[in-house]
Amino acid sequence: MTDSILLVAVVAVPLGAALVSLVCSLRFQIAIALLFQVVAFGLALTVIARVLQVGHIDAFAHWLYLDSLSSVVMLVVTIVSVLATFYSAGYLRHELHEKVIKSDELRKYFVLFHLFVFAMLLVTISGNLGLLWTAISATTLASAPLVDFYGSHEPLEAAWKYIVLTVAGSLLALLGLLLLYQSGVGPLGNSYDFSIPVLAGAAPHLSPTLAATAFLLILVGFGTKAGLAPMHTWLPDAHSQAPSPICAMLSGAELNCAMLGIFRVYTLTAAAAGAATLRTGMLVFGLLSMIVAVVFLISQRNFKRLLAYSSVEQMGLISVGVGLGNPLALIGALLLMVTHGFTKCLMFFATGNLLLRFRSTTIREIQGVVRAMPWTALLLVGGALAIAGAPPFGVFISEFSIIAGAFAGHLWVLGSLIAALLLLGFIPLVVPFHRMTFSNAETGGEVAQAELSTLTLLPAFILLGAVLVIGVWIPDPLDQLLHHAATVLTR
Amino acid sequence: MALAEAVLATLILIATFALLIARQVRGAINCYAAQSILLGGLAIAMFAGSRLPHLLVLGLLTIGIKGIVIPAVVRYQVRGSSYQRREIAYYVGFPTALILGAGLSLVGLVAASRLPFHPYLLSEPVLGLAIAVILLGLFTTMARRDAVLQLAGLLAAENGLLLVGLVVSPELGLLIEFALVLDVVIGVAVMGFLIARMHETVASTDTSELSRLRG
Amino acid sequence: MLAAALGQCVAVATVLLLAPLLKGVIDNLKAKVQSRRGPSPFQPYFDLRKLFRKERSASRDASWVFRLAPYVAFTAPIAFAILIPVLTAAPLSWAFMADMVGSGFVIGVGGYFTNLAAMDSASPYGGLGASRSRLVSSLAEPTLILIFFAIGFISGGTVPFVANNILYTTSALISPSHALIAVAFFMVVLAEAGRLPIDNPSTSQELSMIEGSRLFEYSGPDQALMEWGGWMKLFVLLIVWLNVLIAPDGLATQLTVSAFAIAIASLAVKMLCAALLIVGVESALAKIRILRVPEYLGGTFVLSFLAVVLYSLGR
Repeated sequence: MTDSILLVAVVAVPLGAALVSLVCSLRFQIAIALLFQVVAFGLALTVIARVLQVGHIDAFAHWLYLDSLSSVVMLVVTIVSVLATFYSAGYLRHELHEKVIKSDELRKYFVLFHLFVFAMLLVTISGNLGLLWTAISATTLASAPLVDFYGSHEPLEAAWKYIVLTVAGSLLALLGLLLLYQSGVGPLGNSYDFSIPVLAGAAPHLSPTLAATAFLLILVGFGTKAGLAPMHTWLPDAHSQAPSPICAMLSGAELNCAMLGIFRVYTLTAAAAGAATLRTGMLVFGLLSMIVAVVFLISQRNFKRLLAYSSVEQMGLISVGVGLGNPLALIGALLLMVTHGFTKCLMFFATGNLLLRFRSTTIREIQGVVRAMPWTALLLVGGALAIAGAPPFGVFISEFSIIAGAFAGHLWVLGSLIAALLLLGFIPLVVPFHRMTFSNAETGGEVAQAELSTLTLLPAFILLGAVLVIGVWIPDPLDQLLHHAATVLTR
Repeated sequence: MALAEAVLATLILIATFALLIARQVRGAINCYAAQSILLGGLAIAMFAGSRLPHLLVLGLLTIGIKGIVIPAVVRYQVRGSSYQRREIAYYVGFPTALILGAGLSLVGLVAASRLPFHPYLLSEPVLGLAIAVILLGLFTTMARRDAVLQLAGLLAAENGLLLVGLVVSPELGLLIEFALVLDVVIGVAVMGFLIARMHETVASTDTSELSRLRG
Repeated sequence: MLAAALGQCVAVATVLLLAPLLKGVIDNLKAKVQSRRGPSPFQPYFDLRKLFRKERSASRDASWVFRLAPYVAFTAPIAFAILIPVLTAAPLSWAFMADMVGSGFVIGVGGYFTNLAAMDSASPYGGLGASRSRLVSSLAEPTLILIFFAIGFISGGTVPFVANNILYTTSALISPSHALIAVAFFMVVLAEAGRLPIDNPSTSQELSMIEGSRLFEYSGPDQALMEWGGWMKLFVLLIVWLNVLIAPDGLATQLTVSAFAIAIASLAVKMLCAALLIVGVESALAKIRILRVPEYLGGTFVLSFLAVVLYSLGR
C-alpha cells in the first residue's frame, strides 16, 4: 500500500508544483521549482529502489504500474529533470539579467516545466495503456508552448511542426492501441481491463494479425514522437529552438518516454505476433534513422541542430539494439537510453552556456571558448567525445555492446553497418565543438574570461561525471535494473 | 446493425470528404462541426439500441464540445480577418486531393476487411469507414498549408478514432473517450494559442510563411 | 391485363400532374425560408395555362429539330415513368422494356434533343447552355454507371422494379454502401435536374445559366412543354431515388383502388420530404463556379466508387 502511495506521490509532487507555481508570486518561482523537483527526485529514487527489491509495483487496479523497464526510463527522466531545474534557475536568472525575457514569463515557464515533468513521470508509471497514451500526448502538449517560449518567428514554426506531427503520430498510435484492445477481445472478452499486467497475462493468445498491425502502427506513431526517421522532421527544429534546459529535457528524457511506449507494446505483442517480425520493424526504422541522421550531421552549421540530429541517430541505435533482441544488445540499448539521456542533457547545458554568452547557435560565429569559458570548454569537449561514442564514456560501452550483440547474433553485415555509421557520425560531432573551443578569435579581439554561474556548470559536471563513471564501472543497482529490464523485454 | 448507425457512419465519411475539399476556413470548420455532430448522433443512436449509459454521455459530450464549443473557439480565433472566406493555400490541389482521398479510403476499407474483427454493436463496414476517416483527416493535415485546416484535419482524424473506439468496444470504459475529449480540449487550447500567435507574428495562418528552419 | 394497363396510366398521370406541384412547393418553401411570402404552390399550373394560350413563335432559320425538341423533352420523362416503380412494387406490363441503363438512355434522349434545339436556334446563350449541360451530364455519367453497377451487384438485376423488390426485402437496404449510393445519386439528381449548387433555377443572369439558357428561344406551348418536361425530369429522378433507393415503403402491391390511393398519398409525403431536403440544400449552398462542377461530380463518383468497393468487400 505504501508503494502505491509512493507512486502517486511521484507524480503528485510535480503536479502540485505546477499549481503552486501558478498562484505563487514571481519571486519564489525558482525556489519552489527547486524544492518540489528535489522532493520528486527523492521520491522517484525511493520508488526505483523499491522496484529493485520487489520486482514491480502494481497499484490501483493496474492503473499504475512500475517495473524495471519503466524504472530505467524514470531514472533518466527524474535525474534529467532535477538537474534541468537547477540549470534553469541559473539560465533564467541570466536571461532575466540580460533582459531577454521578462520576469512575468517565469511563471509560464515553470508551470509548463512542472507539467512537462509530471507528464513524463506519468508515462513511466502508467499501467493502463489508455493512460500511457494520454500521458505521452500530454508531454507534447506541455512542451509545445515551451518550445515557443521565446515567441519569435522560428520558435513558433518549430512548435507548430512539433505539435502537428506528434499529434498526428499519437493518433496513429491510438489506432494501434485500439487494434491491440481488439486483439485481446478473443481471449479476454468484449470488456476487459486494458492494462499492461492483464494483457501480458493473455499475451500468447492475442490475435496475431491484429497484434502485428497494432505494433506497427504504434511503432510509427510513437516513433514520430521518439524521432525515428522518416517521421523525425520536427525534431531538429523543436530541439534547437526551445530554451536550452527544455532542449535538454526534450532530448534527454522525452524521447525515452516515447521509446518506452514502443517497448511496452512490443513486450505485449511479441508473443502473439512473433518477436522476429516486430524486431525487423524496429531494425528497419532504427537503421533508417541512423542513416538519415548521419547524412544531416555532416552538413550541419548549427550546433543545437547538430545535437538534435545526434539524438535521432542515438534513438535509431536504441531501436536497432532492441530490434536485435539478444541480451547483449538489449542491455546495450537500455544502457544507451541512460547514457544518451545524460550526455545529451549535458551537451545542451554546455551549449546553453555558449548561447547565453555568444548569443548565436552558428558554429562559425563562436571561437575561443577555451579562453572565454574554460569550464564550459571542458564540458563541451568531454561531452562531444562522450556523445560521439569515444571511450571511456558510457555511450561507448552501450554502443559497443549493441555492436557486440549484432556480432554475437552472427549478423556481420548489420554489425559492421552500425559500426560504420557510428564512425561516420563521430567526426561531424566532435570536430565542430573542438573548433569552437580551441580556434582563436580572429575578429572582435580578446574575449574576457567569464563563466556564468555555478548553477549553470554544476549540473553539467555531475552528468559528465556520471557518464564517465558508467563508462568505467556500472554501479551495481543500475546493473541489476538493466538486467531486469532486459528480461522484461525478452519475456 | 440498425439503419441509423449505417447512415450516420456514412455521412461522417462524406463530411470528412467535404473537409478535404473545403476551400474556405469557415467551410472547413463547419465540416468538422457537422462531422462531430453526426458522430455524437451515432453514439446516441447506439445508446438507443444498447442502453449503455456512457454512450449517451459520450454522444452529448461530443456534440457539445466538438460540435459546438471547439468550432466556436476556432471561429473566434480567426474572427474578423478577411481570410476566413478567402480560398486557402494548399500543397495538393482539390481534384488531386479528391482522387488521393478516394485511394486512401480504399486502403482503409480494404485494411478493415482484412483484419479479423469481432463485430460487437457496429459492423465491419463501419470500421472501414472509420479508418478511412482517420486517413482522410491526416491527409487533410498534410495537404493544406493553412494552420486552421491542419488543425481541422487532426481533429477530424480524432473523430475517426473515436468511431473506431465505438466499433472496437463500446464498453472500453470511459477512459479512451475521456482521454480523447480531454486531449482535444487541451490540444485545441494549445494549437489555438499557436494559431493566434501565428496571426500576430506573421499576420496569417498560412504555414508556408513558416519555413525558415531547414536542414 | 386491363388493370395493369390502367395502373400504368395512373402512374403516368401521377407524374404528369404532380410534377408542377413539386416545383410549386419547392418555390413556395424556398420563399418561406427566405422570409418572403412566395408564389402559391399552384403557380406552375397557372403558368402552364398561360403559356398554352400564348402564340408560338420560332426563328425563321430554325429547323425541324427545333420544333420537334419540345415533344421529345416532354415525352421522355413520361416514357421513363413507365419503366420505374412510381406507384406499384410489382412490375407493370411495360416495365421490362428497358433496364436501368436503357431507362437512362430514355431520359437522356430528352436532354439530347433540348441541346440540339438550343444550338439549332443559333442563339449564343443556347450554345453556351448546351455545352455546359453536356459538361454536367457527361461528368455525371460515370457516377450513374457505377451506381447502376452497385445496385446491380446488390440486387442481381438491373431492371428498376427488380432492384426495388430486392432492396425492399433484404437487409442490403441498411448497409453503408447503400447509404453512399443514396447520397451520390441525390447529388447527381441535383446536377442533372439543374438545381443548386450546379445551376440556379431562379436566376435571371443569362451568363450563369445552364438549364434556363437552353429554353430562351421557346415561347408559348413549346415553352410550356419544355418546362413541364424539366419539372417531370426532376420528379421522376426523385422517384427513382425515393422508391428504388431509399424508401420503397407504401408502394402498392395489388392493383386495387385503395392500394393506389395509399401509394399516391405516400408518394406525396415522400416528395414533400424530398422538397424540404432540396430547399434545405438550396438555402445552405451557393451556386458553385462552372469550373468546380467537375469536382462536385468527381465527388459523387468517388462516393459511388467507395460504395461498390464496400459492397464487394462485404460479400
